[in-house]
Amino acid sequence: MGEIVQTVVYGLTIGSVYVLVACGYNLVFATTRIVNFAQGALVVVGGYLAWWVYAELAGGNVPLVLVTLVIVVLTGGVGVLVDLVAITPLGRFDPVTNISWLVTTFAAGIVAQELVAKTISDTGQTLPPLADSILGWQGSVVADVAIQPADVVLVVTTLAAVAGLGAFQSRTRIGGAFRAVAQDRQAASLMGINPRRVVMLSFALAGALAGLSAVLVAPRLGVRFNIVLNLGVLGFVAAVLGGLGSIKGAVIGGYAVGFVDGLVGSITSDATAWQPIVVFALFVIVLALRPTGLLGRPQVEKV
Amino acid sequence: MRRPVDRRTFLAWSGRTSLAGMAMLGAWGPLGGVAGGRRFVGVADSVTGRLPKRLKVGVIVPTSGIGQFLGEIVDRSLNASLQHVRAERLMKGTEVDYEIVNAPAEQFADATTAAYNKLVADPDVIGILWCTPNGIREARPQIRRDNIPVIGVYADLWSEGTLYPDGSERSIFQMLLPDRMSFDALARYAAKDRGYRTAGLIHDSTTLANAGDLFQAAAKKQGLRVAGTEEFQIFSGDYGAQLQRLKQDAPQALFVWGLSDNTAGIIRGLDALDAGYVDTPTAKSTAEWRPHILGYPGGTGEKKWAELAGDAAKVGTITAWYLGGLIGGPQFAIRGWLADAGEQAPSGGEETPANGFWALLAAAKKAGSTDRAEMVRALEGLSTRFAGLKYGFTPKRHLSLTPDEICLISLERYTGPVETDPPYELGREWETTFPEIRPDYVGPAHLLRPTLEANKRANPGYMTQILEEGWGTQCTKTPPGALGADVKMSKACKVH
Repeated sequence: MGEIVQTVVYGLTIGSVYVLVACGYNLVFATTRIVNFAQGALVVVGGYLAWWVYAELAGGNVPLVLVTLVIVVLTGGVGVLVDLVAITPLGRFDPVTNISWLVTTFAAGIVAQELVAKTISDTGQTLPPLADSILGWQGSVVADVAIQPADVVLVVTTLAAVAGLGAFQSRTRIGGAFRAVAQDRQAASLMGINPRRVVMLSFALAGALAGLSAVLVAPRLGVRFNIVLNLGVLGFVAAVLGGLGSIKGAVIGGYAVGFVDGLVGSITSDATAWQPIVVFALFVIVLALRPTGLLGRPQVEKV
Repeated sequence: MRRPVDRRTFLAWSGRTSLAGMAMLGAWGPLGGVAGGRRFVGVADSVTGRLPKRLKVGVIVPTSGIGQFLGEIVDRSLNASLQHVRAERLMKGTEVDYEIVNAPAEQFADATTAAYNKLVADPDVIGILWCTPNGIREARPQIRRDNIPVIGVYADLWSEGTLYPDGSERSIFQMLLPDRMSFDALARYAAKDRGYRTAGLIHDSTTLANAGDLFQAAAKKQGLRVAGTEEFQIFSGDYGAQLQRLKQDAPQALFVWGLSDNTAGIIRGLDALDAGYVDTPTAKSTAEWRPHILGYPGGTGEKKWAELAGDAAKVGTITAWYLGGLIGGPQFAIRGWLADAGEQAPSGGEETPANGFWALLAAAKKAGSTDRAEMVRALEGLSTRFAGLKYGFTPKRHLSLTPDEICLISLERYTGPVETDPPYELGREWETTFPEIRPDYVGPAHLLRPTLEANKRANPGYMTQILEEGWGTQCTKTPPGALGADVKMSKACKVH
């Protein structure tokens, strides 16, 4: 019983983190066909910015919800900066044949982290949860597994953000522009859409999502640099597993990685060795069976 | 990916990657050969029986990337030490300096090998401070060949059984408190002082991979039954599954071995499970699981750990440390040197590079030469004092510490002792040293009682001063407030 509860709690909470990171990857991929490898780093940058604003600037005397809004804007700006320094200078390019973006986005993430370490803090920090209690409930222990209000906030906010993102993409004019650029950049341009702005906006949204993730995950993972690898790599695995470019796929991929990770952790004490083996084996199997991921669609070109 | 944490960060983060193997090949390849060929120039130029006009200590440390904080601590420490050496004219007639060569942790032994080759080829360099856990194992064949004095400041060869005389590299020495000694001291405390019968471990498998073996050996030695051993990665943020299993095994003492970011997360996880430490009787109780936390110096021994863990960091959490490294103690000289040099106040660990630096200078001074073999012989007979308390080496002991110097430190809060019946007392540092460092200091303080007799054997003068002036967490004294070398202390307060 305990193992099941632990797997469910882990799968939902850590899976939510992967969902948010995967959505960030997807937003950028949908409009540019590149993978923004700075996405994991942006979450950490967002965490440090949030700590700096909340603890250093405001001395802890400001509602964290307000700080979250500020951070979402700030990391959105950082996302735009990533676009400006890592993608724009490459000019017009075919992301399939010119893979410079792979290095430039990765480098942008490292530079952003280093700048934060030099200017804000180079050691671990903490942020309080967005909510200490929900309707008087302050947390429970179920089958030796602790469940905190912050966990519920993380899962609910993730699902709300994903739903909002889906609505934004399918029901707004800008969302339509996103889809148009994703389908055919040149045709979209001929229809009066400015692809550069759309791409920039996708980077801004991905950055904003990273900022939101940072505040949500801080009570569970802390604000620290050494989570970048897990966030970046497993978030990417989640995105590819679900199907790059698909928001629904990000949700399925994120929770799949979270649940598998949690299940392995619950079964064995040697989880640090087995988790990557099982997750990546699953990754390979899914891609072997469905090369475009679970919900990805193959690109068909008319000739 | 970045910056694991505070000072002793990636101890034992040995080159376990293929990079390490590549670096090894490089060491024996053309680059190593060139450096090896040039190294003798320095020895030949040195004047036996008289020190040269100029000498340098080489320092291998990361000054960028993940381990940058180590470089900052080392540079701060050496800058203050150098200014002190110059001001006091401790090396009269000889111009002294140090040279730091960056060895980014991300490049493992590749970087340390390059740094070593650069330093060993410099005729002014008399010895090397190895201020990173990386690369020293891979460099051992080169060091044996070059016979240059190397002092492991953040490298723990002793715990692995590869420090001379167990290993064959006679010119390697170690300043760092070894993990094996820490485990032994804590297991002894758990079994003999607290009377616990079971112990569990949760450890970082990335940077402290051999912690499991060291724990098992220490527990066995003290007759503790091992109830649960769990691992986590340095990149981990969730410890729910491990804590759930440990709760089922319910060890009375829980060894938490990892860096402060991770271990603070574990302690918060325990608190969320209503498993926070209260006192010894509760830890022994079978009614609920509230284990006594015994921790790793680079984790629970850090002020940062207490800050990250917040209220979950309970008073009574015990960490192994050593007498010469107590920043709150009355004889921590480098605290003043740092202030004189305009550096920030010590956060712990500053004494180790400083003492290594002085050990090399003192050996050259004692040998009257920078000849490597003579310096090694001088180091083997060295007994000196610099940043803190007395330290030294012998021909049979290349580790600067002895087990009698190991002490325990206990987490305390600036708000004063927790309420216990009978009460216990906090020492003088809470009114003098810590307010200088930070008025609201929360962190470890010397816990006197458990290792008192051994510490008296190791450094009687220092311990007399401690007892007569009332430093350190004083446990429960009879009568309360008593001072003096023979003051009686008891564990009646039950928290530590």
